[in-house]
Amino acid sequence: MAPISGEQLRGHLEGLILAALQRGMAHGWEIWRSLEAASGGALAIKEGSLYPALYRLERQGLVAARWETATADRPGPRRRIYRLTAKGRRRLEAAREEWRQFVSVLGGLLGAPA
Amino acid sequence: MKALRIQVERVVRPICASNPRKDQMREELLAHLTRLFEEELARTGDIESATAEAIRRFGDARALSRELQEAVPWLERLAFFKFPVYGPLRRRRGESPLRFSLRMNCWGVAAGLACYSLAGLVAVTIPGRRPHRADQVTRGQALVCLACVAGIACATLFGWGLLSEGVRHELECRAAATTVLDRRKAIWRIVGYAVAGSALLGSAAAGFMLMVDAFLPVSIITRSGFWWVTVGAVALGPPSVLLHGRDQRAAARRFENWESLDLDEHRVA
Repeated sequence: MAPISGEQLRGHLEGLILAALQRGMAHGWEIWRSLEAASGGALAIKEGSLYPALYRLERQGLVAARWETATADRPGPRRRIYRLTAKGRRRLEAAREEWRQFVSVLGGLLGAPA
Repeated sequence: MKALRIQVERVVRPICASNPRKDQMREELLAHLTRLFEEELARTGDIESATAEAIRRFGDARALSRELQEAVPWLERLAFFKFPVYGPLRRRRGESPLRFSLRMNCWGVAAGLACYSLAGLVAVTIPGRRPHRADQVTRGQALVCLACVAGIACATLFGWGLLSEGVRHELECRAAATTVLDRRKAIWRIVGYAVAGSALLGSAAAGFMLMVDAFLPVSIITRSGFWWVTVGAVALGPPSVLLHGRDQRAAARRFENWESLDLDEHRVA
């Protein structure tokens, strides 16, 4: 399968992050790894792109973040832990519904129903 | 790893945002980049290639800057917009706070003079009319008003320079002082800068109110009120500055640590 580029993912990255956070709280690195694992390595976007999307989601109140408190077990800079908010959960449901409709309509038009 | 910090700074430095937000971005991006580097180092065993690969996987610094900039609220973007004159208005490395404040004041005087000359030129060349209402100001009064504005702007700039840069610099000196005498001297200088800065800011604010009082048909402040506002600023300014001194010093140190990085170092092709 050809890798999915950043251009193709435009507009969907936020939804993917929300879906990753539905499984539980995570920091940026864990979110990225979870997306990578779920896609089977098909996502071909730069890892730094995750953070602008996370900040946008935080600004919209879809995710909430806090700095990790204990860093004694791990040297280096602190990480921020993100979690899904109730508003984020609702947005994720709406995004899923939109996606189902999108796939059903375009699948029918292309002759390849989902 | 300095190369990783430099890469993070290449991304964050051009962003127009508040320092706390930029610090947050720096720390978070560095945490991710460090993990990337560790992963690559475990795979390749070579620091140079692990650094290059981690930076490549992280993405183009300029593109990332643009994306991060879009994630900053528009009001904050506007408030921290880097004007072309921003450079000269920043304190130079090694410049004393007093010199910085004076330089700021010179900028204020120059800007005030330019505005004043322009307004004077307009007032002289354009045939004026006598005010037809009692509450309208004459050209002469307008020029006096403008001079007041310029003076207030200068006092504000000078006061702000003394209060922010002076106090911050002396807090650094106090932290670095090795003898009790040096520490005491620094404390006295902090108090001096704080009192002088607060007095200037207070009198600028009160002067503004007096000016409004003189030129508009509304009464905001009396002459005795002017002195009360100034004295109030002197009384309240230094304690509030000193209360926030520790946070300010820590933030300044963190900010300067990042700002001092040379972005042309460790450039990866």
